[in-house]
Amino acid sequence: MADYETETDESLLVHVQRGDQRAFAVLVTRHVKKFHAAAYRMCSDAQESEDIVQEAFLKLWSKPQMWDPSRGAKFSTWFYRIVTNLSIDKMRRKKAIPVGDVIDVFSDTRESQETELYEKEKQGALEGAIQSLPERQKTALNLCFYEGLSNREAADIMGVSVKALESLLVRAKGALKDELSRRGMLTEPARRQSYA
Amino acid sequence: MREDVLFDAILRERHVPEMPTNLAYRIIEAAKPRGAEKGFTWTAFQRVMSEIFVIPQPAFAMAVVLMIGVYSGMQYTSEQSMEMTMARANLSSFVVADLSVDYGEFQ
Repeated sequence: MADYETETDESLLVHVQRGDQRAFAVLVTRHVKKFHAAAYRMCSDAQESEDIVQEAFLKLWSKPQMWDPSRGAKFSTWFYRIVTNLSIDKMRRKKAIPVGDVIDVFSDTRESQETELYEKEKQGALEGAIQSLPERQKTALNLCFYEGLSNREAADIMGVSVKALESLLVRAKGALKDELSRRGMLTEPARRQSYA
Repeated sequence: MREDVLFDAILRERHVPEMPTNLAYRIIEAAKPRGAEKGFTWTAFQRVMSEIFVIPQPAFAMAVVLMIGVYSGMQYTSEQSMEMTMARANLSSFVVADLSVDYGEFQ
């Protein structure tokens, strides 16, 4: 019996295509954390991101022929596309979270120390600002900045040219910078005072 | 410049909540009752056949050779037996015809 732990993702997928549950289990264990984080960054909802990653893996298990080895795509790049598309579908069905809401939740429920509160609020503001970006800008930012994919890979996943992706990235970062700057988060001494 | 550095630092501080420890297990368990689609495709068939012989799997190889042998054997036997049956039928009809002729002459 082959040692699946040392096999590549692509080789495991060939086993999965033959209905090998063990190969599927190794693939899930190996990647679930990464794709859970990716789904969370897209939808900013812990429960939703669990559902998305579960649905994506079950889709792979029930229709493993979706992955075509002859195309030469890396499993992780191909699977990012599935997770990203599922996340976008879910987000479209769900009402967008307004920027201020996340901050309110934290400030209403947490009454801990000042530093902790500041960190929570900062996270809330950042998350809110990212979630308020247009869908394609947010996807480009997540794939390139947070998932560490190359521009070419991210462009393939999004079905756009590299140039278009770069433009999306520039606009995303510009919008975020403006938003964070407006909140006084880009001037170190002022940051703490504004939340204190 | 300092603002750019600070901006990148803030972006990198983005928090992702810990994944539930049993999520992988839940996914694997949820996959169990479904069963992967194993639709027949020629590429899959060819891949399996080539692996049987390229990566030695004596039991499978022997079973395939046996199946081919039995099948071709059955083909040969059935053709031969059909010819023999037809020859016997011709012969017996000839004998029966001859007897009837003899019987008629005696009357």
